[in-house]
Amino acid sequence: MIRHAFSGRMKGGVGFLFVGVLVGLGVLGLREGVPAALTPSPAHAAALPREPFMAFVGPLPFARGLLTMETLRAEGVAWFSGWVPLRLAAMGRPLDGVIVDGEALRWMRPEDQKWLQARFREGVVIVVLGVDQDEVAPVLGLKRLRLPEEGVIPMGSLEYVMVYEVMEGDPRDIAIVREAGHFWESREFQAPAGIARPLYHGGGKAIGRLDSEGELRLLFHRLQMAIQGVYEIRAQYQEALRTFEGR
Amino acid sequence: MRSASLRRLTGIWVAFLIAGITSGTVRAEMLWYVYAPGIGYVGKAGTTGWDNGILHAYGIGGSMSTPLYYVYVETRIWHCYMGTCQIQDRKWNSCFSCTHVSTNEVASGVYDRKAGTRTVLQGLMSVPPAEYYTSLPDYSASCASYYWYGRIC
Repeated sequence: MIRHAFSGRMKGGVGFLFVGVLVGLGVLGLREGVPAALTPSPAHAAALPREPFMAFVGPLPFARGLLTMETLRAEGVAWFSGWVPLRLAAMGRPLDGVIVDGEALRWMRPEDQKWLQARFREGVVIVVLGVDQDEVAPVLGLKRLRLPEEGVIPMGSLEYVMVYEVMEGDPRDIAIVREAGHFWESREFQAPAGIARPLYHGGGKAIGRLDSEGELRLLFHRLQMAIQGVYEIRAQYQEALRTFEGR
Repeated sequence: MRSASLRRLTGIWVAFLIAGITSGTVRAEMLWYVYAPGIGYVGKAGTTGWDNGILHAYGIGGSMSTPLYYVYVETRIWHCYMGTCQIQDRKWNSCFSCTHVSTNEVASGVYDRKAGTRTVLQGLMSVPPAEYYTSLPDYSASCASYYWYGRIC
C-alpha cells in the first residue's frame, strides 16, 4: 500500500518534471528558435548530384526586381516561407545552395542563424538578396565580406551578394589554418608551418543586380558554378588524401 | 594523383577550347617554369578564360611535377565607378602538399571587366613564397595594383 502510494507520487513527480521540461523547451524555443542541433544536415555525396538542392527562403509570393517565383521554379530552386521548413527539408537532402531574401533575415532566430552558419562552414553557397554585404557578414559569423581595400558603395534592394567557403583537411590542420588568419578579414594570408597532410581551401564572393535579364542569368550561372566548384574541391581533397595515404 | 590531376587539367583545357570555338575568344596568359621557392623552376601560374559579353575566367597555379608545400590562387574582377572600386567577383583555391590548383570561375559583365590572378607558390615549408600576377585579357591587369586595389597597371 505504502509502496503503491510512493510509486504513484513518483509517477506524478516525473510527470510534472516532464511537463516542466516541455514548457522550458517551449519558452526557449519561442525566444531562440528550434535548436540547430535538432535539424542536422546529412553529408554531401562525393559527386555533384544531377540536380543539386537549391532552396529559397523568403516571403511567398515573392518578387524582387526581375527575380520571381517563376524564375526560381524554372531554375530548379525550391521555395520555403520560413527557416524551420527549410531546415527540416535539409535534414533529408543535403543543401547545396540557398537564396535568402533580406526579409527572411528579419525572421531569423538565433538558432536559425547557428544553423545557417553551420551550413556555410560545410560549403553551402549562400546568396542574400537586397541587403548590404556588411550586414550579411555577421549573419554568417564573419567580421567582414568587403576586403579592406574595397571602396564602399552601399548595396540596394535590387542587389545580391553570393558567398561560399569550403575547407577540407585533417581537423588538426584545419585548426592551424583557421588560427593563422581568416581569408575574409586579412589582407594577406601567410601559410602556417606544420601542415603535414593535404588540405584544400576554396571560397569566393560575388555581387550583382536583380534588375536585368542578363544579370539574372549571371546569378544562376554563378550559383551553379560555385556549387560545382565546392564538389570539385571535396573531390580533389579526397584524391590527394588517397595518394598521401598510399605513399 | 598526378595522372588524375592531369586528366582534370586536360578536361579544363578541352572545356576552354570548346568554349573558345563557340565564342571565338578563348585566351590565356600563362607563365611556365616560374620559380617555386625551395624546389626550383617548376612552377606555373596563369589566367585563362573567354569573353562572350560576360568575362569568364579561372586562375591556375602550381608545379608541373613536384608537389609543393603550399599553392594559393585567387582571381578577381574589379569594377571602378567614380573613383570607387569594388570587387565584382573573387574566387580562391589553395592547397597544402599538392601539385596544382585552379580557381572556380569568376564571371562578370561590367564594362571595364578584366580578371587578375595572384598565384602564390611555396615549395617547402621553411622558405618564403613567391607570387606571380597574370590576367585576362592577357597582360591587361597583370600587376599587384589591379589585384589588390582594382587600379590599372
